[in-house]
Amino acid sequence: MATAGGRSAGQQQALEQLGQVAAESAGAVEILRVEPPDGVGWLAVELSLDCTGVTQAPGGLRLRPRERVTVQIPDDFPFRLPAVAVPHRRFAGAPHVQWGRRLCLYQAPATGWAPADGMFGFLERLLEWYERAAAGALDTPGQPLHPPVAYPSREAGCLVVHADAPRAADSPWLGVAVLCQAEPGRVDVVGWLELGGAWPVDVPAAQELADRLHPVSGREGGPGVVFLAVTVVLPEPITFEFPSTAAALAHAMAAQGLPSELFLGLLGLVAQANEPLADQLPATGQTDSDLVNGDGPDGQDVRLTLPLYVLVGSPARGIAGQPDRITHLAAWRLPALGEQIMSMLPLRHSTDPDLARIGQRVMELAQDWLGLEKTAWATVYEQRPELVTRRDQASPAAWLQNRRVLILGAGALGAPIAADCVRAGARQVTVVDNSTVHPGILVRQPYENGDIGKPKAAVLAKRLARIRPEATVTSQVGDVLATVLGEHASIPDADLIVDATANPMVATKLELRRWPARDRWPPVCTVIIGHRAELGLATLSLPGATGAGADLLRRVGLAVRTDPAARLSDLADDLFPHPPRTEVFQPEPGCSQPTFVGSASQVAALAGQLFTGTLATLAGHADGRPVAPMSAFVARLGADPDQAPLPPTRLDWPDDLTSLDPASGYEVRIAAGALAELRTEARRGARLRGRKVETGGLLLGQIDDACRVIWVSAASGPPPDSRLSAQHFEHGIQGVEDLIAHHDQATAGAVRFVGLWHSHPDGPAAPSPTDRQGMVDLLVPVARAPRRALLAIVGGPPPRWSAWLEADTPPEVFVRLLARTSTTQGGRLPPRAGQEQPGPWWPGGYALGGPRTQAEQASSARGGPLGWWRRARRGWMRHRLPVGGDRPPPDARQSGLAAGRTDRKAEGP
Amino acid sequence: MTDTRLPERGVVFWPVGSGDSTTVVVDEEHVLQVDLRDMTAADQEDALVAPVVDRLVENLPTRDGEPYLAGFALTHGDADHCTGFADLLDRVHIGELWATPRLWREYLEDDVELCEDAKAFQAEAERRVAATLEADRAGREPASGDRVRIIGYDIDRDQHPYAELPDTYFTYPGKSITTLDGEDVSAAFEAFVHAPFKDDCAAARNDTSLAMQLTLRDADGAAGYLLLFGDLGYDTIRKIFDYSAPRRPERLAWDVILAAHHCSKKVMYTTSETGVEELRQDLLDDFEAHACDGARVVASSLPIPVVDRPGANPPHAKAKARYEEIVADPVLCTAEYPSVEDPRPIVFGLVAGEGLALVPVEDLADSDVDRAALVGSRSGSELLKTLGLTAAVEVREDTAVPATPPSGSDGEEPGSGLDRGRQAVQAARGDTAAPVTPVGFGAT
Repeated sequence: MATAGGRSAGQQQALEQLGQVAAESAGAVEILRVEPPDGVGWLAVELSLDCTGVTQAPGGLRLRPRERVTVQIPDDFPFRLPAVAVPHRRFAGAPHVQWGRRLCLYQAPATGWAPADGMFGFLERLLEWYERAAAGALDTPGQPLHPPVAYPSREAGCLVVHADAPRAADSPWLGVAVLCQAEPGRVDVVGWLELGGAWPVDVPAAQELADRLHPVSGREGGPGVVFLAVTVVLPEPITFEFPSTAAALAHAMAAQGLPSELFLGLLGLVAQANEPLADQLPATGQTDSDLVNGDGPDGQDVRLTLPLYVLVGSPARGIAGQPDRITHLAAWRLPALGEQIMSMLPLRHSTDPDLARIGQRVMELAQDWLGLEKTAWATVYEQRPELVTRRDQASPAAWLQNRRVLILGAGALGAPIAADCVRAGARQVTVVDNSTVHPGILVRQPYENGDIGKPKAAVLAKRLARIRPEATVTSQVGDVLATVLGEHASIPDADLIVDATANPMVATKLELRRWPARDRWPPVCTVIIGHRAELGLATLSLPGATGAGADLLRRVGLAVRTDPAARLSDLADDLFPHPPRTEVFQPEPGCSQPTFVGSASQVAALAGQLFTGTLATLAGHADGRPVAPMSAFVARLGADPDQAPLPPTRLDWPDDLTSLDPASGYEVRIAAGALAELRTEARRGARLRGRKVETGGLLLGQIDDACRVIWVSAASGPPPDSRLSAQHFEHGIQGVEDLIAHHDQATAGAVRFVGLWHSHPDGPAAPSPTDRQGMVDLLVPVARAPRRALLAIVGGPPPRWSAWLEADTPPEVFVRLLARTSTTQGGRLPPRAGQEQPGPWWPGGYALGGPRTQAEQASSARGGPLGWWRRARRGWMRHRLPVGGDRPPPDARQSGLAAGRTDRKAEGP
Repeated sequence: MTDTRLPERGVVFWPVGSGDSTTVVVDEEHVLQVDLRDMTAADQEDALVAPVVDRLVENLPTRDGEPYLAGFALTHGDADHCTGFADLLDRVHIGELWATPRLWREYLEDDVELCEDAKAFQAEAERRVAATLEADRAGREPASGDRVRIIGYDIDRDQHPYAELPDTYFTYPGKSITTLDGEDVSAAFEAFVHAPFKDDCAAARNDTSLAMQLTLRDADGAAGYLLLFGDLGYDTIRKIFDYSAPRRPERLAWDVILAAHHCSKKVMYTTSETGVEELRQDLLDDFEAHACDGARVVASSLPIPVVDRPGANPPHAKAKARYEEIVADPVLCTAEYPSVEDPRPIVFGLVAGEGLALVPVEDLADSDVDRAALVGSRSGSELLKTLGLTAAVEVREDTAVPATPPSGSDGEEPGSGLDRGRQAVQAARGDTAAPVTPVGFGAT
């Protein structure tokens, strides 16, 4: 072997590896020749491979006893792959052989090529290639077939095929492709018209046709320049490599039933059909458009013509071993001369004998020209649905395909989410935002210097439309509160609403606007990120779910405070701090909006995580999997290297029992946990005191005048000094203040006293005469009586009441928000002691045993105030929702009460 | 019995160790022997060889009760090309001798060692030159058995009596021979002479070998081509191609090539002045360019080693490897065909549409031809068959079986050549699999 002169270290290593193999191989792998590196640094090594004894299948390549092969080793080996060529054309036409001599060993070098294995892995691949070539198994059954190769030339430009291609049956399919040029250097194939069908005769017809075939609402100027291209789809494959000369192409077509005269005739026909469409072009030759033919020298006036493309299809795309073949397309762009010859071909059909004679002569010229011309193949990019599998196909983002998404807010979260929607194939994306781009946001929002001062929504929409002109991307520059959520706005016509405004007022108004028509609202997602952009929260309400926006944020707030394992403490500290954070970040001192601290990477990461988590839920729902109507997803960056990263957390909730108070117009939402408390108390009362004895207790939660919602998040049974009988329920006051204070404290004021409940076993959920008196009195068991209180009566005729107690189907509920007026006095309930009551009665609390009389009451040893309070608190706690990673199985989660159930089982009834 | 009728014309390559012994059956009367190596007459080497002279004596057509060989051509005077000639001459009537001037030149040179059989050939040629001159002087054709043909030109010819022969007894490179023993066989046979070149007449003996393209033809137009290069090396064969390829490429066509010099790598490798061996792909490309479909390479040699030892004599593994890159089928080695343990003559027959085609061993073995009954009167086809058969039944009694198969393997065949390549990769790497890559980028 010659000196190492001029070889790179990598090449030297490759040679050593080859030499080691050759030395071990006893002639099976022989190095014939090593040439010095060529001008561009490639080192050629000629090898000889022993191919004796290789299984030779009938369809396989016939191997010689030994095969010579040249390996070209790049100077930056092993970081670039060696190329392989054979010194003969015996393999030309076989799959994975290009340019007649080049062997394609690696379809996907990123996965197939191991730099660390160098020439060893390479040789194994090479040997395997020969083995499979001999066995005729270069295309193994079940694998996608390598499509034929048409070597593109730069001047032919490129095509993007959007429309599924025709297929030929027994004879060639003849017709035209409808082409649009909207982008320089590229032509889009948007449809196909058969020979003999109606072809557009003028520019408006062509534009209308293109618009119909492939609407591009997002593109200014519509479909662009529309014209036609000759299309021939052959019934059989040509060769693995498409012909490099027009003569060979014509020969291949003739062999499949399309004589060259007919082919040329079709070319002439299309050149003629394109003539009126050339009106779309500028009037003179002074253009730098690459589309036109006929640029005159030095800007002379030359009539411009449209280029003539020939699209050649052959059945070559598919899966090896399966008969169904999709048409493979190659596109040849005729040079100007060819186009001009073709445009004169129709002359031979002229009625003028002289012209017809000229036309005939042109046909002869065309035949000659065909024999000389080389085919200039264009680069073809496939976007055909029949061929291209979306890269996000199996991801949650697939849910977005063909959907309409309304995005509120075009900031750090809204803008990337909007882009995600467009890329994921959404049909329509609407961005609403009322702010303008200012310099500070360029740090982390996808805007540009040139956008400063312009409305974000408009700038964003315009940019997104360029990603996919097929998508309709629109913008509304305006205040969400006044537009989308305005008083008279209709329900948004979308498949998903994403509230990315990070504005509590939007979340609140969203809830206000949504609940009266919740069944008709699309899924609503609210996304926010923490003040240091280290975590984020997305909530999702499915259509019909009890609440969205502010309602769901409130639920998350309750969950993070009451999770016994404190797995959401980071979320609590970040998004639900108590007391509220006093230091806020104002990027521009003065009156600027406080915002979070965080980078573009953090924001992009959180936006992606939050949206993916949300889409996963939507996709699950679309697939028919059991999905809670309301859910939340917590994403954490976990970038702190000193702390173990926390996993994402998912929370979910079942629907509340909702009831409208017609008098106030407020909706009362009794959370599943609170309702379970009522039922537990009703069941216990029935067991201890008899089915007919009423019971009751406190209702705790929040009254929200902005949303016009009353949340009942917790409830209790009767305090010990209550009196319970079949006719009447009198609420006691013992321990009530303590219980309320506990809730207030535990939830940072989110759960407070809202009213009282009592039961009407087997009776209507409607106020009795006594109730009516009480409503007028508005007496409550708290010292600082609120201005308003909720009265709730649960009841129902015997079957319904029984069903609630036994099967947990909802009872009848009566709700009324009572307010102090001039006619009501209000105030605290008086102590019960000393009052006489007819008939047997029971005390409240957890006392056991039979009915009491007044005299007995004082001696009650059990159910003292402290015990009642503890019990009541524990009951409330156990209805908190499970959070964190150890989630119960879906069936248990459906009620959202799995943890409560477990607790009950453990404690016993 | 299977009624496999062999072609009328063909060629037999005998297993004779590293030496040449080629029998050309032109028709039922005319057989041409090119070189001879009868190892029973020269007991050397651990080779399984055929007793060529015995079989020729048994099977040749007869004239006047004598086994009759129409012609004998000696490519050059090396022992491995003429051993047993004296015995053959004794027992067989040889109509015509083809000789190169080289023998006369060497006969005069003191320092040249000629083997006894070469001397016998030279003496016989000398005798025939005298007889021919005498006949010529008498105005008649020389008799069969006295005929001689001088092939090639030597500048020292004036020192030898053969120079006085009339032109008709000379053939120079670029000319064809279509007679055997004075009889016109042009319808079935043609020998086109490529070498020796006049310029090489004083070169080393191997470089003065007779080189010919032999053509066999059937009445229906089928033709088969055999290229014989004797012991020529790269330079002379290169010269042959340089001269003939542009002028008469058809004279280089071949169905069968006898790998020159017993499958020597000197055909396609040369040694530079610095001692570096250089592959001469150009000549291989030329071989390939002139090969007919289904062309075969025959190595008349001992079994070809798997790997060449430095400085070893032919046959060379490298030469075999290079030939196998230019044809579709493996090289046929006379010592290995069909097996090392039981070699048989390699028989090619002229087949319409195929040219010279290998006659499968089965077609010879399955025959129950009554050899005794065929003696003396047989067709070319039967002649080919009996020549093929004789070696098969007799050869092992005469020679010793080599103790170990020369292929050098330990008996366990490792599958195909590609499998062996793979094993070599794994041996070189030291592992069966590539090192684990740290990250898979979305594999599949």
